[in-house]
Amino acid sequence: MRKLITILFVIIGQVSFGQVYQIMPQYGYSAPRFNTDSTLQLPTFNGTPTLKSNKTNKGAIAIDSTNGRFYFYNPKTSAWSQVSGGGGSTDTTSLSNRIDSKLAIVDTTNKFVSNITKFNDSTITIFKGITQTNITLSSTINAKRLITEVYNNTGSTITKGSVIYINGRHSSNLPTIALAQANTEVNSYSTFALVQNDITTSNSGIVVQAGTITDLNLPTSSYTDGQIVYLSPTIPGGITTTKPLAPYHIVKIGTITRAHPTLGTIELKIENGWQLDELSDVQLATTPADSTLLFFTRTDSLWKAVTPLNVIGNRYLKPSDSTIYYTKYRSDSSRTNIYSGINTKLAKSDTSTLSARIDLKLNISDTSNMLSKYLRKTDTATLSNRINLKLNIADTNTMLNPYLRKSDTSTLSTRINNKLAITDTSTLQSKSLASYTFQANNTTATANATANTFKDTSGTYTGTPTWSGGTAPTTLTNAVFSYTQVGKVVTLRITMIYTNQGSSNTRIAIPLMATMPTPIAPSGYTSTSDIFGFGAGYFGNVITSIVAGTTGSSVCYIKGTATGYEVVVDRGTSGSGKYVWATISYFTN
Amino acid sequence: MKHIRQIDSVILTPYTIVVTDDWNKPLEEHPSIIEHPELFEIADCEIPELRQYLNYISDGN
Repeated sequence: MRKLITILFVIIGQVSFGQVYQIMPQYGYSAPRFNTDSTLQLPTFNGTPTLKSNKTNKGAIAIDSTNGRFYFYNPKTSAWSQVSGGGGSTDTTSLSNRIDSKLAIVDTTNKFVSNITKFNDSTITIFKGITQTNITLSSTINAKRLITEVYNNTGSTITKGSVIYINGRHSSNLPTIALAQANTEVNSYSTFALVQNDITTSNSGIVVQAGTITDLNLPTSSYTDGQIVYLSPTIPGGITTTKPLAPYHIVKIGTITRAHPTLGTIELKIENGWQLDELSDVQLATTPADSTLLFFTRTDSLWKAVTPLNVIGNRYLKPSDSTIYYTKYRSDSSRTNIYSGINTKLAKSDTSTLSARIDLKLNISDTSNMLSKYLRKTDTATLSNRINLKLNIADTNTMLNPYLRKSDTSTLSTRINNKLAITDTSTLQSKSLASYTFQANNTTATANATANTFKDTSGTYTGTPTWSGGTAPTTLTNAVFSYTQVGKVVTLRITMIYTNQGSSNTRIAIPLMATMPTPIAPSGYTSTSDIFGFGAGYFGNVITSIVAGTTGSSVCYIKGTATGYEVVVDRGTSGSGKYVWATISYFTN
Repeated sequence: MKHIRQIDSVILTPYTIVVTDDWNKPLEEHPSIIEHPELFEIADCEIPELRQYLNYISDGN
């Protein structure tokens, strides 16, 4: 048997060594048995291997010799996968370097902080590799709030925003807290801070003593920006916008800088109110006696509590001073002694009533008569009747008629006319007349006056006279007219003065100016050249002494012309025209 | 308009014009020109507003 086994091994060994390398067929090599010696050689690839055979239901392994990776073929997934771990390529890179590589960090020596130490109270030292840097903390950093870590051992959660005071110490050396409340001095006088976030029982937390505390429930329905909030006297740990008054204790918490249901903010500055006995110049017992006054004494310049009796001292009367005073004044229900005292003080022996003394002063014995006599208090008659009585007028209607004519309802104008006996009230208008008129009665009977023309005027004569004779005078220095019209009669005067006399003058014809009244012809004188009226006229070279006959008779008349009317002065004998006078009356319409 | 004027009235107002309305002959033949050419003259100018008229009476009348 032994031989048989030896022979079998020899044959197997020969067969194994007897295999000759052949070109890989399409299906690869199929070894009926897989033998190895000290190593197992595998196919190598550049990159991910591929199956040469189309048989994919068997596993395979191969090596990527280019990248040093070990692959296996998973027939279930029909895919090659890199074998990681001990089976793959050996990554000899240290974990540190591989992390650096992963983080893409080149200089790891000075990149990371390896140590931080406190250099002094205001400086810290940072180590990066071999580099150390001192950083001095600035002293000008502005803190927005002052906080303290505290411990809640109340047995309940103290919620965010609660007002607390410190009431002890926990074994962790943190101060313990309790809810503050302005109902008592003990609960309020050491108000410390507000809780920043809920602090569950048996845990520590942060409270804010001063500065900003945010994220509070301060709904705008109850709070407004800028409001002062105080410690609530009714809600433990609560705040209120109503200033607590005695007997409550006032503790100012801070100012609302943002009213918001979730983002409410308060600037904290807790100010505990002072008790009267806490003031440095007030010295009171812990519990002052009842009914005491605050009394200042110069002895030690302090305010102290004293009883009223002690305040009064011996300066003023008090019941305890003497039973006499007490009996005399305090028990004197009728105040007899008080009156006597007052009378004595006022030096008045007259104890009669004020009313009686007034009557006496006025010397009135019967005051009721005084009222009747002067005030007529008993006379209830109306004021009107009393006036009538005073005026001795029995019939007031009569009084009204003759004086006020109350019953006469006619107009005041009519009544005045009646009083003046004027039937034609237009006469009253005589004060206002039409221009150039006067009022006259031009009838055969008594009648109201009617307007008639009245005009009295004068001016410079600007007409063009016509001389007859040898030459006309020249240098006319004065030519004026004036006329007065009363009714239909016009009296006209025209005068002229020349410097240089004319010669052999027999006539001057002076046309009427357009502004002068138009003459009317007497009845039967129908021609326009008929003479309408005569007057007195003259022209010559002297005016101071005219002797009839020597200068020739003159005649003056007014007549019509082709273009109007003219006043004509004729001389019987010719003369030298220098001075011209013409006065004439004529009728007009 | 041509007219006869009293010579001195040219500078001594008022301007004196001889009435020639009824004269049918040349103005040069008017008695005032014939008899007193030293006092009257014929003018052909605008007649001023300030004026007076003269009915010349011949010396022979």
